[in-house]
Amino acid sequence: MLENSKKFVNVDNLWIGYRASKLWGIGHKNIDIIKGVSFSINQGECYGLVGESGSGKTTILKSFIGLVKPYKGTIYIDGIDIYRDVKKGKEIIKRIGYVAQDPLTSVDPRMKVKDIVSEPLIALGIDKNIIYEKVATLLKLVGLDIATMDRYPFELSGGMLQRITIARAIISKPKLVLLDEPTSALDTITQAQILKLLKDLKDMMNFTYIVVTHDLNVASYLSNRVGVLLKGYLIEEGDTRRIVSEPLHPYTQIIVEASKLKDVSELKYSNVIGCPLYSICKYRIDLCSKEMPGFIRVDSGIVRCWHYKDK
Amino acid sequence: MNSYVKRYSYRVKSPIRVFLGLLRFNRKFLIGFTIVLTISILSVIGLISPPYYLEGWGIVTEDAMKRQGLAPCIPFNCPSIYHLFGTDDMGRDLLSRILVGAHLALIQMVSVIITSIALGILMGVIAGYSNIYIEKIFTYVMELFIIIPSMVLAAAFITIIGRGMQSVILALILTWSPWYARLTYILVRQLRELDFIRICEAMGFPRTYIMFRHIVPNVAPLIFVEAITDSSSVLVEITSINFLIGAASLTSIDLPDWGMIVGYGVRYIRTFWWISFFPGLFIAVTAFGLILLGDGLSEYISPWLKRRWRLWF
Amino acid sequence: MVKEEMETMVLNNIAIRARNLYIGYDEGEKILWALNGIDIDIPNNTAYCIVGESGSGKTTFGNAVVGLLPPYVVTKGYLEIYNNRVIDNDRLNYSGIRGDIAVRIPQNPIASLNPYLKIESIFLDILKHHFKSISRKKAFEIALEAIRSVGLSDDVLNKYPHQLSGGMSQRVAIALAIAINPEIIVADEPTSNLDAYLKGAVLNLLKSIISKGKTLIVITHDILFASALCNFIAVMFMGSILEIGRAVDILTNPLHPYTKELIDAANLSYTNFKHFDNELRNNSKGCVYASRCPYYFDKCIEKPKMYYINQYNGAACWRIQKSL
Repeated sequence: MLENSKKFVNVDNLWIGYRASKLWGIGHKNIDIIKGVSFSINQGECYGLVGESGSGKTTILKSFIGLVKPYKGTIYIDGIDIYRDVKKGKEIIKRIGYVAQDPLTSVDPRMKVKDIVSEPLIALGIDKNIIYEKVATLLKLVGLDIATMDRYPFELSGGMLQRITIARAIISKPKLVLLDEPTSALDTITQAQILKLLKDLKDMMNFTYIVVTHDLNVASYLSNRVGVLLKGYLIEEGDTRRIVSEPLHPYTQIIVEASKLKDVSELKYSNVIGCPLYSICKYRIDLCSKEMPGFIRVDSGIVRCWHYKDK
Repeated sequence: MNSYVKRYSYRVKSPIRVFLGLLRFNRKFLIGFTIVLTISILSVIGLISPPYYLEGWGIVTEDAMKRQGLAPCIPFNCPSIYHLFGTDDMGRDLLSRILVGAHLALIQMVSVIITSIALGILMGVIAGYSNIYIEKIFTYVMELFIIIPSMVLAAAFITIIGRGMQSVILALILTWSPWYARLTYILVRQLRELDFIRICEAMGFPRTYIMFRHIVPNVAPLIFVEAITDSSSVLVEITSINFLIGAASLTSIDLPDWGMIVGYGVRYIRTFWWISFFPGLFIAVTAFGLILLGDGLSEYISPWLKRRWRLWF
Repeated sequence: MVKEEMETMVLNNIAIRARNLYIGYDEGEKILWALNGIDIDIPNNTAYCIVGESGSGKTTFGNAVVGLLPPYVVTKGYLEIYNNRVIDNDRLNYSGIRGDIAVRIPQNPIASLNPYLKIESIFLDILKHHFKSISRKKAFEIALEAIRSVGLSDDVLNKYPHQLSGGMSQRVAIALAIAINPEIIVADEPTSNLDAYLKGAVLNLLKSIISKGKTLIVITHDILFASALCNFIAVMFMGSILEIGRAVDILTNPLHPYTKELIDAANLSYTNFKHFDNELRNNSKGCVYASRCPYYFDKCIEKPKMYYINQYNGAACWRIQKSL
């Protein structure tokens, strides 16, 4: 669509899947992880992707950095199709920051902190002499003492390691930063500190964030807009405030209830063609089991539910 | 922030401090290390100046012919204190032969281990981190060579290259490096899935850079510890091959490798029993020391091998 | 109010009592103290929450109650469960307690189930061990009832652990714990390995366990979850208890600055990202929180004792004593 092409990040009808071979390798079936996801993000905005484990949110992030190739659909970053235009796409991917979930496995345990943080700059071929200065400035920015520069990862706590991964992600002055459940492995106090740090960094340096999480509270603290993933489908998207106060899709309603510590019944998804929520949805109609709803535009986003097809 | 650093940090130990700490607190390591150190000192003596230099290397001197078959020096029954371990049937002093043999054993063992670690790590890393075809070829070749026993290979090399230490060493390198290669391969496969490798790939580093900067430093320490633990097996293998096939003997002189001396003395086992006994004793003690050394080191690396956990069982 | 008066109060039927409890791990070169002098009374038939960060010693306390301390542990002080001294200075005696009266719901539900056994085999294993002679039919009935009471369907018994989702395996772990009808249940971080939307379900499940008259100890780092579930909360930090009291009081009126920090963090309303760092010279005898406390003053060099402002609530802070 015309207005989308001016946006900074544009995901258009993304389908990611793989082929699993059946019994004894005879024949195979296609298993789709991401089914027709489309969204777009402005520069300087923070977009949250909320979904439970198994909904495919990590796979979307992996496709942004080129680890998983979609078989249909395109990803545009800054106007460049990163899979069709391979050379320019690789240049863009080099400048994307990635913060992983577990701080312990996302750093090389045999490297000192200053080498870990300076790696992206080495990949970009920047002169070695000024790298360590940049590292020092950046460590101060994320709230770490300069003495940690010569330390090894096993000497530091989880919170400090996560700050180091954040420093590594932003040192190349990326325009896009991907955050994969950045605080799931941390305690409450450290979690709050890291989230505040991320928010301050975004305001200060105008990054674009994509935050993937299963906790709606984290997503609503950081993001301007939120997209809800259900089994590979993007079933609702909109302004954070609207989603938290007036969730439209029944699945979003369940998640918002659960984030206030209310009891939700165990979600059993149906495997029929059509909406996965069919068996427990209170709005269900016959059409829901036959066909997956299309994208229905609501004021600031979309929703995929036949209940709203007349709006 | 400083409070966090103070709470969680502790000094990174330099290797020397690790070593001294191990000596102090780990009894296994201490005993093993003393044994190995003693043998090394003996081997240096053996190389430079054993008591009877020529006899040590196997040459039968005129003096030797006069004192054939002297018994070793046990308390209250010492024929000659100049020959603590006695002499063999040709009169050569056994102690000197053993000392010369010590340095031969160490040379063979160290060259085998170092070369097979280097080859093994290289092969394993390439196999574990390249495309699927290279991986398949490498694993096939590795498993092929693991199956071949070292003795057969040594005999084959003797017929091809001729006698001498090099055939034994070559045979053992070809038998042991696939083992380390396979170990490295398994470790590399696990390491590949970790986030930091993925992120480095996304940053755009070429595969070779990631291989040598990230994967090898993480894999090498574990392989080193494994190699030290295996070194006793290597020693016993070398000496067994020399015992059975006499692979290391050169036609001109009688190389005093421990296994060779034992093999030589087997036919005198009823009369001059000390010819086989003392080299065998040295083999056993050195192997034992190496095992203790390796065990102590691996206890340090993997804490769950430490004694306190064994209290559960 | 002083502690002695608290002891003679209405809180009769104390299930667990600890006095001056020190638990440390012997690392060979030194001893790492996980608990530094704990005094705690946990009454019967309540839900008691221990809140703290990782490294505060709360897991050690949970393990101490259930009897799962490793063999290289070093102890001082005493711990009593129903008037049996399970830890008495350096002697540990858990006969009759471990597995009979006190059980633990482990933190990682998937890793705690044997992947080679079906769920029913795991149940039979445990029940056969607990009731010395029990027929297979009766054991199956007990297992079925336990599974139903946690809200799972009957066919779960026939499945293998890898076929269950995270939420379901957590429920199976809870069912395993309540199948033998223990008196004390320790839930070790019940929600940290699960997705956020399952918190409410686990909350209700644990509430239903208390209604059957058991003592529930929940160890968590999420103070909002703790306050929604429990009657009493104890806040721990670096091996010492900093605040104790009723859940409602602690949330509305936290006494200790650390509790305030926890509540602000949980609400994500951290206004001031300043991390205080008061320089202390090797002060192991002072207040454990002193290096991060915004209200640090000179008396904090000495370790404060727990000071109660009413029957239930108290904090270990010199400020409280100063102002009252």
